[in-house]
Amino acid sequence: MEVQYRPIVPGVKRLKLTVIQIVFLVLGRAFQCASQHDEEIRKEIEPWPEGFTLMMKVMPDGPSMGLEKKDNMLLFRGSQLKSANLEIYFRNVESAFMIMTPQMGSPQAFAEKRMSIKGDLGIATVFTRTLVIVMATLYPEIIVKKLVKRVPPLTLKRAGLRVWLYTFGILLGR
Amino acid sequence: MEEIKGYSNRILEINLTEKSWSVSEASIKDREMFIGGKGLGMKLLYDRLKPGTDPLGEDNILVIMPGVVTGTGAPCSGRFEAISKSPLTGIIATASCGGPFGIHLKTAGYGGLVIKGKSKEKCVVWFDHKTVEFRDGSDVWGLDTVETQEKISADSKKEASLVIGPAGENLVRFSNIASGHRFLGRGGLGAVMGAKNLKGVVARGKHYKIVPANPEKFEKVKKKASLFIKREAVTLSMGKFGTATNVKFVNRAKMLPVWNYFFGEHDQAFRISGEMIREKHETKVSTCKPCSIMCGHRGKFNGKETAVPEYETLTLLGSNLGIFDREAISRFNDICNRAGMDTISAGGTLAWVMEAVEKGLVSPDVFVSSAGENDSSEQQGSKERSSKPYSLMFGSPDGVEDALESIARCEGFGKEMGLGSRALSQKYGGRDFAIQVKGLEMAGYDPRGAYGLGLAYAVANRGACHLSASIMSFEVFLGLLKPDTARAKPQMVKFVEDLTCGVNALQTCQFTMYAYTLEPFLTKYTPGFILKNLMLWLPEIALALLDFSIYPDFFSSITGIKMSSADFLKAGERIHVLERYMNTREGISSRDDILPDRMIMETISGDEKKRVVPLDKMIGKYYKLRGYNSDGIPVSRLLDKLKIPSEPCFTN
Amino acid sequence: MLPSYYEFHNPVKIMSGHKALDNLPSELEMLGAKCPMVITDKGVAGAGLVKIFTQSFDSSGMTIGAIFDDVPPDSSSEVVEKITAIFRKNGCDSLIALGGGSVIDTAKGVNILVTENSDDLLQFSGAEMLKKKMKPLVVIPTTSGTGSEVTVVAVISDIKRNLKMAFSSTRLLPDIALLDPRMTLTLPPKMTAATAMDAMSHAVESFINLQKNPMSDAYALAAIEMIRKNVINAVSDGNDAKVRLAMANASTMAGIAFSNSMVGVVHSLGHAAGGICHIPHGVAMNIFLPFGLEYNMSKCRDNIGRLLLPMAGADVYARTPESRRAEQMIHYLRELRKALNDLCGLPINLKQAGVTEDKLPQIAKAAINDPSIIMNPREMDENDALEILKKAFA
Repeated sequence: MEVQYRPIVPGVKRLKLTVIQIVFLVLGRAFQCASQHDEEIRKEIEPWPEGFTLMMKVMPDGPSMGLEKKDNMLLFRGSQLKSANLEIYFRNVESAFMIMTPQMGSPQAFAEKRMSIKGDLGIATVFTRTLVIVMATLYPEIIVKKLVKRVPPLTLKRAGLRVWLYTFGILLGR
Repeated sequence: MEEIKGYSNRILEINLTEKSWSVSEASIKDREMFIGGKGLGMKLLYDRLKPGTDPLGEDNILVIMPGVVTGTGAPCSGRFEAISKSPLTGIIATASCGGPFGIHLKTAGYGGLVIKGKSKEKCVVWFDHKTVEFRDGSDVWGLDTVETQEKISADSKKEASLVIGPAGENLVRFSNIASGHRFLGRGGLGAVMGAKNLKGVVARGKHYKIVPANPEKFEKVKKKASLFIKREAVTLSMGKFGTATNVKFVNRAKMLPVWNYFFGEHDQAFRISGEMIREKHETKVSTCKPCSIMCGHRGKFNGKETAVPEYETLTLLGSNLGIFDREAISRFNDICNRAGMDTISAGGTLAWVMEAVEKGLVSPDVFVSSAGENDSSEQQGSKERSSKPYSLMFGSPDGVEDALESIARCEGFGKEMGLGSRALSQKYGGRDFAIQVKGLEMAGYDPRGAYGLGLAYAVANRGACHLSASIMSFEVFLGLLKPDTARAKPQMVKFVEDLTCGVNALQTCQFTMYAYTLEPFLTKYTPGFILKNLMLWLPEIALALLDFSIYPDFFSSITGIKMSSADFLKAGERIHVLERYMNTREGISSRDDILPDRMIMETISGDEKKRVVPLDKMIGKYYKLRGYNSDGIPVSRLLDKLKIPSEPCFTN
Repeated sequence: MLPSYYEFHNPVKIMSGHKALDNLPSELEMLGAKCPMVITDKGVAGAGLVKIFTQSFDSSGMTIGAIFDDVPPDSSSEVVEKITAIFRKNGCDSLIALGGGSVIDTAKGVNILVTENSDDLLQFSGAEMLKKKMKPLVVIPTTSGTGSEVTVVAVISDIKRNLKMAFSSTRLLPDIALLDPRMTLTLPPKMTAATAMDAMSHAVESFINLQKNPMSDAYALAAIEMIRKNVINAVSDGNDAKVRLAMANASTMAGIAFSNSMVGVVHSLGHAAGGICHIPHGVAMNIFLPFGLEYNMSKCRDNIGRLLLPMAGADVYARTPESRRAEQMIHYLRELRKALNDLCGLPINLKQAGVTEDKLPQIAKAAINDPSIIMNPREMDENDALEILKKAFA
C-alpha cells in the first residue's frame, strides 16, 4: 500500500492563549492604573513623547497588549494596536506563557531570546524597569524575587495600590 | 687643622660593660697585609673574637673600619665597613656603608673602632679625637633611625652617627645600622648593637685633615679614576637611573626574582625599572659623600620626597612578592629604613612566608597586627591598640606593611619572621623554598640565569650575597661571559672575590670596578668577541690581562707603602681566606656551600632551556683553585702561603 | 553553568594573518561582488594604509568602485547619506570598511540605506528593524578593540535632529572580518592601550553578565588571555606584527563574545560618560572596568574569580586560594591599568580623563537608561551609578 504524505495542520494552544490573554488584560489594566498612582513609574515615563505607543505581542499573530502614553499615563489599548513605536515580541506561545504566568523574569527572557524588541532600546530599558515595578505591585515578593534582579521596596503606598488593584483597579482601570 | 698622612693606625677600643675606652695600635705589617677597611677589620676581629661566641651575647665584638681612601677625596671614597659575628647566620658578617660616619671616624683621628661588652643600661656612645662619653640612651630608645640621628648627632656639620632603629632594639636578626640615609645592610648587625643596649655611636670628626703621602701621584691616579668613571657606560647608566637600571637587564636575562624565585621575568617589570622611576618620580641625586658614580637617588613617592628604593628593594620587596607598584614598594622601603631592617632579608623572608601559607605550612590565621597606630599617633597618649588580621599573598601589597611593622616591633608572628627564612623553615618545614644560603637571604638575581653567580652565592662567606663576587655583571650586564655554562666560572669567581675583598679593604665603592677594570686601554679596545672567548676558554690569561692598577695605585699613593697589582690581589685573597677560615672555625664546611633546592632542582617556570645551577660541576674546581680541601676547609699550607697565623694572637 | 536556553550566532568569516589583505579580491568574488566601495577615514589614509590596501587589488581584475576617506570620528547620518549617493552613482555592489569603530558603523549605515533603498536611517533604528538581505560587507579593522567587525550593532548620530540612533540586527553582521597585522601597526601607543582595554571590557563583561553562555565564555576567556599576554608589548613596541595580530584576534574574539552575550554596567557608564563628557570609549572602559566588577561582585563572584585564570595565568590562578580569586582578578586588572598608565598615560580615573565632578549626576542618569544595563547581573539604579562614578572619579 502506498504511503500517503499529507501536510499536517498544526493545532491551537487554546488554553495557553486564553491564559495569556487574561494576563495581558490584567497587566494592561494594572499598567494603566499604576501609571496614575505610582510616582516612580510616572517619573520614568515622563520623558516619553505624547502619544507614544507600545505593544507586547505573541508571535506570529497571537494576543497582544497595547499601551499608549497620554497625559503622562499609560492607557491600556487592548489588542487594538496593529503596530507601535516600541514592540516587544514573545517568540512563541510557550515563551509568552512562561513569562506571563510568571515563571520567568524579563531579564532572563531577553537573555534567552524568548522576548525581542523592535524599536528604541533606551525606552525599552525604561519600560522593563516599570514592568518590574508593576510586577512587584501585582505579585508577592516570594514570586517576584525569582523574576527580577532586585525587588523594588514594597512601600506602604505600593501595598495600598496592590489592594486597590485587586479590588477595583483592574476592573476600572484607574 | 692637624694632618694625618694617609691613615692612622690608632684603633679606638670601647668596652661597654666597663664603660671604659682605650686606644690600641694596628701594626704596619697588618696594614700591608690586610690594607684596611674590611681586611684590617677582619684581622682585628680574628685577634679578639673567640669561635663559638654568641652573636647576641656580651662577648660579640663589632668592628667599624674606615677605608684607606676614606677622607682623601678620592672618587667614591665615602665608605666604611663593619665586621662582626652575625646573629642571622651565626658566622662572620661584613657590611659596607656610604654614610657620613666613616669620614668622621677617620677625621677624629682613628683608623678603626672596636666595640666590646654590653651596657647595662640603654646607652649612646659619643666620641671625638680626645675623649669618649657614655650617654644615656633611654630617651631615644624606640625612635626610628631618622629621629634618632637627628636627636643624638645634633651638630650635623661636625658629627655623624651610627644608629639602630626599633628592629635592632628588638633583636630582629636582619636589622641593620644606619648612618645618614645609608645602611650597614646585611647580616643583622643592628641586633648586635641592640643586644649591647647600644642605640647609637656618635663620632665628632673634622679634627684632622687626611692627606696622601704622595700627593702628586695621588692626583694623577685620581684624575685617571675620575675620567674612567665619567666614560664607562654601566657606571653612567647607574648614575642616571640608580641601581634600578639593572631591572631591565635582569628581566631580559630571565633572572628577575618573581614569586619567591618561581618565575624569572614579568611583563610588568618595566614599572620598577630605573628608567620608569626617573620618568615618574622627579628623581635627583642623593649619594654617599663623596661620590662620582651617583647611583643613590631621592624622588617623589606618595606625594613626599624620599629615598628611591634600590634595585634589591625593588626586587625583593617588589617583584619577588609579585608587587610592581612603585609607591607601595616605596612605602615598604620607608618602613624598613626607619625601623632599621635589611630590605633583602625582609623581602626574602616574606616571600618564604607567602609560599609557606600557600603550601599550608603556616596557618593564615597567625597574621595579626596591632592596628590603629596611625590614628592614635595624632592624639598622643591613647596608645590603645586593637588587633587586626592581615594576610600575606603573592601579588597583593595588602598586609606587607603590617607584616614589616610587626617584624620591627617583634609582635605576634612578626617575632618569628624576624628570625629570618632559615629559622622559619627549620621550624615549619619548607627548606626547599627558603631562598637563603648559610642563613642569609639571596639577593635579587636568580642564579639559574647566571651559573657563575650560583657558585658565588654558594661559596660567599657571608651567605647568598651578590657582592662577594658580582660576577653577574660579566655574565649579564656586560655580556662578557656566557652565563649558562659552568666553564671558566670557578676561576672567575675566585678572581672577582679576591679583587672585591681588596676593594672592600681599600674601602671604595664596588661599583668602581666597572670603570676601573673596563676602561683601561687593553680591555677597552680589545674587540668584544675576543674578550668573550678569552674569558670563556682561557680565563687565566684573560684575568692576567685585566688591568685594575688604579686600586693599588691609590693605596700606595695614599699610604706611601709600595703595592703592585699582584700584591693587591694577594691581599684580597688573604682577606677572603681569613674570613673563610674564621667561618670554618664556627663550623662552616662544604656542607654549607650549597644553594636552595629550588636553584639546583627546579627550573624557572616557563624557561625553555630548563636551566638549573650545575653547582657540583663548579664547586670542586673552585675548592682546588682556592686551596681548600674537599670539605671546603682552607688547609694549613694555604694559610702559610698567605701568612695567616693559624691561631690568632689574642689581645685582651 | 549551562543556561536553560541560549543562542549563539556568528556567521562572520574570519581571515587573519600575514598578508591576509591579498586574499580579499578572490574572497569578494566568491561573495558575488565585482565593484566594492571602500569607506575609510583621513587618519587611516594618512597612515598609508589605503595605499597598502589598493596595492592588494593590483593584478586581481577587480575594480574598486570608490574610496571615501572622510568619515568623521563620530559617524553621522549626513556622511552615511553622502556615501550612499556615491555608492549608487558609481554602481557599487559591496562595501569594505577600512578603519575603526566609526568607519565600520558608517559602513553598516550605508549598507542599510543601499539595501533598503531609502534615504532616511531613522526609520530603521532600533532592534530587528531590517528585513532584506544586505549587500556584502567586509570589515578590516585598523584598531583592535571595538569588535564591530563581528557585532550586530551600529550607532550613528543624527546631528540635525540631535539623536543618537542605535541599530541592532543580525543582518548588520559583516560577511568577512579581515585581520591583517599591517593594518594596526601604526596605531599609536595610547590608542593601542585604550582599544585593548575596550576589548578587555567586552570579554570581561560578556563573561559575567546574564546572557553569558558556554560559547561566548570560550571566546571571552581566550580573548582575555591573549590581551594580557600581548597588550604591554603592543603598547611598548608597536612594530611587532605578531603582537599586533594577536591583539586584533583578541579584539575580534572579545567582539564575538559580547555580541552573543551583551555587556553590562561598565558599558552603561562608559556610553553615558562618552555621550556627556566625550571621553573616548576605550578610555572610559579602562576607567570603569574594575569598579563595575566590584559592583557586581556580590552577584557573580565565582565568574569573576574564574577570570583570574586568563588574567594572571595558570600558575597564579592555581596558587591563589579560591576564596580570593575574585579580588585578585580585580587586583591584577588594576595592576595592568597602572602598567598601561605608566607606559602611555592612559587615564585610570575620570579626573585624569578630564571629567568634572559636577557632571557625575548627569552621567548616572544617562547610564541607567542605557540598554546595556539589562543584562547586567545586578540591577543598578541612579544612586548606585553615582556611587560607582564617585569611586571612579579620583
